[in-house]
Amino acid sequence: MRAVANIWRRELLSLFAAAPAYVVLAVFLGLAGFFFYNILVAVVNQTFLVDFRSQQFGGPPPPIDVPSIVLRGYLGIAAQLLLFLMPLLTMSSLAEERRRGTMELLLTSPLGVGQLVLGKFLAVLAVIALMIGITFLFPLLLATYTKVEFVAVAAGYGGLLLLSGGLAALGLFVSSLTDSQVIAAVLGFGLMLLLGVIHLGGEGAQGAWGELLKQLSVFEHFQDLAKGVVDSGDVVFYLSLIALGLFLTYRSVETLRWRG
Amino acid sequence: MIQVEHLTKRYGPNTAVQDLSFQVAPGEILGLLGPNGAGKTTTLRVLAGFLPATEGKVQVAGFDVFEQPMEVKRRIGYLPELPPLYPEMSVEGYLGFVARLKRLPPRQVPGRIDAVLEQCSLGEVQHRLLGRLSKGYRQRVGLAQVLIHDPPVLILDEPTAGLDPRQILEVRQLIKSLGGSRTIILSTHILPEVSATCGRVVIINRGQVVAVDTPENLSRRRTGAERLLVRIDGPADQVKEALGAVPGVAAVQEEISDGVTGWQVEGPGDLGPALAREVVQRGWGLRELRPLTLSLEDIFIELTTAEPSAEGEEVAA
Ligand SMILES: Nc1ncnc2c1ncn2[C@@H]1O[C@H](COP(=O)(O)OP(=O)(O)OP(=O)(O)O)[C@@H](O)[C@H]1O
Ligand SMILES: [Mg+2]
Repeated sequence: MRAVANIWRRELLSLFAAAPAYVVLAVFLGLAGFFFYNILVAVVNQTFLVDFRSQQFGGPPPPIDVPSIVLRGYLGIAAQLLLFLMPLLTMSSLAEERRRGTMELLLTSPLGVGQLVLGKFLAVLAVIALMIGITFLFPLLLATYTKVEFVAVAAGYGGLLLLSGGLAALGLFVSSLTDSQVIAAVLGFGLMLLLGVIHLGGEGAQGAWGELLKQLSVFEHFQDLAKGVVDSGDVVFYLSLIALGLFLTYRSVETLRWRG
Repeated sequence: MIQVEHLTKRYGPNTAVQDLSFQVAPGEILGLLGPNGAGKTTTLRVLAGFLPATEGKVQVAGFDVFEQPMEVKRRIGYLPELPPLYPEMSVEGYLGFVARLKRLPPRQVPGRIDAVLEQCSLGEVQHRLLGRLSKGYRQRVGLAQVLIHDPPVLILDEPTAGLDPRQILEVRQLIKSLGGSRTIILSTHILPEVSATCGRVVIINRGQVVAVDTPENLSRRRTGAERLLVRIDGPADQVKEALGAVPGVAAVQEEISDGVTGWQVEGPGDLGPALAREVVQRGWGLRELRPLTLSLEDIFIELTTAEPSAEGEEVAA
């Protein structure tokens, strides 16, 4: 455990000192705030309109849960932002170790490859948790005006973290394939995009194939979670994604020595 | 302490190291000498457990590198060809990281950092970022990293590469002082380095052992004769004749280096005293008298050209 913490701490230092963690953080928070504000304004206007209509035509106004709609909209956007930003956080992780020759130090030290991969993964996850955590201000802000279902909101945020974890694990794997950050970033973007839009391929297709493609989309599994509905199938999907990514990374680093 | 038996390493179709066998005794400093591409780095990488061997057996500190890699990794300090540094870390921070990586108990970490900073003369740069250090300092941090957990076995790939002449001397001194209590294998392509630090040398060329011996023997044994450089104040024509007449001298050759004339004298046995006596008797001034050792290039030419003819002689005999 100490070994994992050692890797974790060093990786965080590198993420903030050398790699673009600050930039990613700033861009994410800026865009997240921008979209949150716009969704909020749009939904509030919509409510006024509905209220106005029901006053005109009589009858009780239909209940509109403003915070839920706003947060659901925000979480959907946040998931897409993270999908785009993830390769920037993971590209250097293992590729840089290979390029700088520090992999030679790590692999000749009494450190398990599993510990190395886990430490790296948890470091990226910590940065994401920080980013997502800061945007927890949004529901807190809404709570000062109206009632917020915090249990559902927490489920949504948890789902976002799970989704990011899956993407991060795959990003690490891509980073282990090359000693070039740029190649890792480009491959990472490709893979992320594929996972983000794969369900579109299923739209035209019929039957099992279409359903399979839909099931592979990282966003499809997020829809219920964003609403605060925890479906164990979705959670299992993301956990499997994390496990798959970490396992592939593990194998890739292990065989690195054979590939030279 | 280190045992290499029939080690072969192939990169795809290319053989980098072929059927290499040698041993390093506890407390010994062994030099692995060879020209570029000889397979030094490859051999050391296998020893450190970074590369798997294609064939052969390697034991370090009593453990098989392939069967019990963790036990070996705990006991070695390894300096790769390129010092493995993180540019965004400070010297101190980096050494702390490596100390924990090598599983040093947390309480000992600060003390060991201070000790290696001192040993490698890094005190004045301890707060600097590694990315801002000069090449020589990076190399020294690389060495400090090797020593941080005080391992019994050191594997050093060209430890003095990139250092200035004074630092080279310091590092050689450091390595020498580490020998005795630790087992050290280092690679280099500089012969004086080996003479200055190592008790024994393994010379490899194209992945194969060409010679194993002490540095002193190596510089002499191939010629089978002693070579001396003599510089004398005296009439050149007479000097050459007189030197040639000294008992035991087989050949005298004029050698001009840096505009100064000297004489290369070659012959079996200990020629020094006889030459000096002759010069003094004639009343000339003796400016310089020193043994000439062969450069690595010479030895290589010797070894690679002498080998086939030696075999030929055996066949003929
Ligand atoms: N990763 C690799 N893949 C393929 N071939 C390699 C690899 N590393 C080394 N080689 C080859 O193996 C041979 C030995 O290389 P090695 O680096 O061990 O030599 P060296 O003795 O350390 O040389 P130098 O003095 O230049 O450091 C060379 O022919 C080299 O081209
Ligand atoms: Mg080398």
